[in-house]
Amino acid sequence: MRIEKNALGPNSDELFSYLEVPIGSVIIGADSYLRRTGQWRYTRPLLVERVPPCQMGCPLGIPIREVIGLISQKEYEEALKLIKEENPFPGICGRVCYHPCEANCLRGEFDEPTDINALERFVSDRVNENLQGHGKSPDPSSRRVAVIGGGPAGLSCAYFLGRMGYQVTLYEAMQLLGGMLRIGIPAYRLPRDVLNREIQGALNNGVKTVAPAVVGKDVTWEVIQGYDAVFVAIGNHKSTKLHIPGEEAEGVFSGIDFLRKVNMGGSISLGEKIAIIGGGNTAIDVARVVSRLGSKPVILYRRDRKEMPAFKDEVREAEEERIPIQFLTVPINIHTEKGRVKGLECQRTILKSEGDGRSRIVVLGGSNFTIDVDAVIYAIGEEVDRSYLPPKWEKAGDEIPISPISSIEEPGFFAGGDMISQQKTVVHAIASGKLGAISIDLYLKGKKAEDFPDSVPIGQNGPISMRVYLNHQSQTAFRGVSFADINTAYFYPQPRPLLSKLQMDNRDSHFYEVNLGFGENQALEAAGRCFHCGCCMLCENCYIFCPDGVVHKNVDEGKNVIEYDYCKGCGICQNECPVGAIDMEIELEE
Amino acid sequence: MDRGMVTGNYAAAHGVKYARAEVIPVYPITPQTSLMEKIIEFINSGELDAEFVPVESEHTAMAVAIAAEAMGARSFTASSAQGLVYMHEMLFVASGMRLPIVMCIVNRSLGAPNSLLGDLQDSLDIRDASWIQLYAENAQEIMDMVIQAYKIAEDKRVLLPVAICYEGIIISHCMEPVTFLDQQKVDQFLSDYCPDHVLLDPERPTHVQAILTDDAYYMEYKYQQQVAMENAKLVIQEVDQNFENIFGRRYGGLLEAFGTEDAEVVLLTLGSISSTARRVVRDLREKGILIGFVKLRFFRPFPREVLQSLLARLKGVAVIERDASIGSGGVIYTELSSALYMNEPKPKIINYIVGLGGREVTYEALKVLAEKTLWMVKTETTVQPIQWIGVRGLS
Repeated sequence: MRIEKNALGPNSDELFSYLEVPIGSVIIGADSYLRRTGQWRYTRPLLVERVPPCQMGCPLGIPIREVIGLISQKEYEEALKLIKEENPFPGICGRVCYHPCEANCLRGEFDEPTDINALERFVSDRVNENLQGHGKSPDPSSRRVAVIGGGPAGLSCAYFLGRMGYQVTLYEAMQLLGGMLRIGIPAYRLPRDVLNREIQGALNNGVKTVAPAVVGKDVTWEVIQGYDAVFVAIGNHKSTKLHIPGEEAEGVFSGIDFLRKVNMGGSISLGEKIAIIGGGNTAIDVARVVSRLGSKPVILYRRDRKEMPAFKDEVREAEEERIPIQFLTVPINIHTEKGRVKGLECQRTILKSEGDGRSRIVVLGGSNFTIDVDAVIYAIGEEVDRSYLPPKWEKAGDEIPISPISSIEEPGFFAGGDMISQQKTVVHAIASGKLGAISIDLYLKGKKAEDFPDSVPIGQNGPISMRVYLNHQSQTAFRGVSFADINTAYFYPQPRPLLSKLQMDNRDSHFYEVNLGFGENQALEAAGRCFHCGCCMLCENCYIFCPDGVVHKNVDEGKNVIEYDYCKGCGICQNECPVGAIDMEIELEE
Repeated sequence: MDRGMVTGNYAAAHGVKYARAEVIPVYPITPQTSLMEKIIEFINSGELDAEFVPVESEHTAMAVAIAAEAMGARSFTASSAQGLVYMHEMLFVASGMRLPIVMCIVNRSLGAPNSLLGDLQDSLDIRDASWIQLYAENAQEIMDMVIQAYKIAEDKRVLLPVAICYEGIIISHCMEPVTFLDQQKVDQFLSDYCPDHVLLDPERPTHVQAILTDDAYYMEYKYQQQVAMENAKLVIQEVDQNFENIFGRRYGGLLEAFGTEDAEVVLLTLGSISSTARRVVRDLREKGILIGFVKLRFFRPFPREVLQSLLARLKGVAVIERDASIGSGGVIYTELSSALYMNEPKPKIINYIVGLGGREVTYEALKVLAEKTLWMVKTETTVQPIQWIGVRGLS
């Protein structure tokens, strides 16, 4: 585009008479510095790109805004490639992630958040290809890394290390990879074909797998110590015990053991009435599996609904499936007959609130009652099974810490997943695998903890980003976007597209997937609801509203350009920017 | 020829329709409002193909008119009193950009105290805005002058905005018989507006309303306006003649006069008072009294030369006007005195300030003023030259 600097008219040096002056205050002569109204300015607008809150909220730092932009343009394959730079498992996370991104979504303050979770799943299912691997074997001269544990953390670490060209060997104790994804999450939430597809994709970068192989038994720790670096992520697979009488009776199972048996295809005889103890996601999953196996579950939880640690969506789905939950109930005794469970004696509780934290449980004496049950499944928490770890690590606290670059107890050993002190979610496990891969890369390059680059997190104190680490995305130091930055006058309320769910009739005795995901039209509608926070979407508002006409649209590779020679710094463009992509910067006098 | 009864405001609206104005930003104000309403009716009925812009103030009305005119669209607006004063800043932009906008000023007294009735204080207040100003005395003249105004304003020798002024209520709201115009004849009389001096065109970027950070050409721009205003005197006469050729009516151009060839005294006035004053003069002349009549039609450009040639040899001139520059005299009186000062001989000029705030100026009152002036001339009495007439308690 040509920006006309010199208006029409003769050069002022050539004028000798009033008769030659153009009629009507038309400017004459060459461009004069004095006419550049930009000199009046003391603040100037900057077209900026800010980190959106969804990306800040995602423990994996997925560039959600860009992904949704690509979805809107139907560039599904590109969208999937972009996700997979940060997350090897979009099909899994798109189903089971508790989506903190949506809790951060600014659209949530307007009407309802954008369906980020469902869109991630849509892209993965739609493209349905293993794009993430180059499929090549790593250079045999590259450094060797052992990953112990084939769950989300270990797979994630192996995936990223493989992409970086390391020779990775993955040890898994069980027959099949997936860890808690496979044994803990039933197929009606995470179909096995999706799980297998994404695990296969993660291994495509030349990752060698050894399974089943229990480190410490089938493979000695001495062998493991022969690697250049080791990532340990064996997860929390040991259920916390109830510590009540009758716990050893036949018909008492731990939630994880039960799910493992069912999900790995084993058979289990339960009986008709099953009590499930606990209020977490495992308890909910157990109850829904029990229901599908044809028994009648009841969940007993010692606190009330609002203190349940299970995700709200899953509690809602369980209730849709008519699974009863008895709140404020604590088991005290398992009655047995001939060594087999016959009933469960419980007491009622009340909650005494104590400040801001969780409330204290007070058992009501004399409130004892017994329910007839054929089996009891307890799911009150899981812990790391230390029997797998070298004895010298048992001195470590309840949970094993991880910090960038430093190893667990000895150089070159790193840990991740549920066994370290972080939130026990799939997405956090994947993130710890990513951090582990970065830590190992730095370690193998001879860096120390203090060398851990500040620029790896997104924005200020944001999630660790592989794209930033590998310089695929420049670090943006600008501030984030808040709801106040969004000009909501330019958006109208629009409900989320309806997510299809499996009909109730089909849930009874099957493990068919309950959530059916988006079709293309729903996905495009959902993507269209994104506010595009903090990034210009070429809406032309700044161009239209600029009183001085100094915003030039699409000048430089589709970007708007502000002509500062004439910009008076009025700030109208910033005010009218729907997405908060314009900052006003105070200009100091030179 | 089609005839009918219309108010002054409706006559103006008809004129706008005949002139095929294209962009019409107006903010309503009494007594102008019915003019705006009539234009909207014409647009709604499809009789006028124009863009009506409902603006939030008179300042914006003129700003929109300026922008439209700079885009090459014939534009029209109208206002009164406080609204006109609010528009003041933009008036200078319109004339400085040489945009031939036509505006009706439905004269109303400026507050405070507020009056809904008319005097000429508001339009005379914009004396120095480089607008051509004409004063009409009845509905027919308003209708005719709207289309004449566009022809004058858009003439390449002029290119200045024109204000058509007429008193609120007494002219704007009273019905009078008019002869409607033939649209075909109007189209023959007034061709399309085709500017080539100021035209906003994305294909040809330019900078209008220049900021001159040095004073290099300010005086040259202003002198061009002065030349244009002088050219307008000739163009006004040409257009008057042209109008007569097509429509068979003429108004005399800059001014209308009769009886000046033998009169000793002349009543000079403008606006609605002209009708009454004309009757007074005719009646007195029938009695053999040597008196003449001048109706000042154009205040800007001020018809200095014509007035000098008509009035210099008279003994007395009574300037009767509905305005006062407080602290001096009537605005017309001051201008006329200045025009005749260098003449030798020159008449005695008496200024009668009448009818402020719309106070009625009757036939009898004007007759008294005529006789008073005749007596003064005959007896060569020296009197106070600026007289406020009809003020209660003032003898």
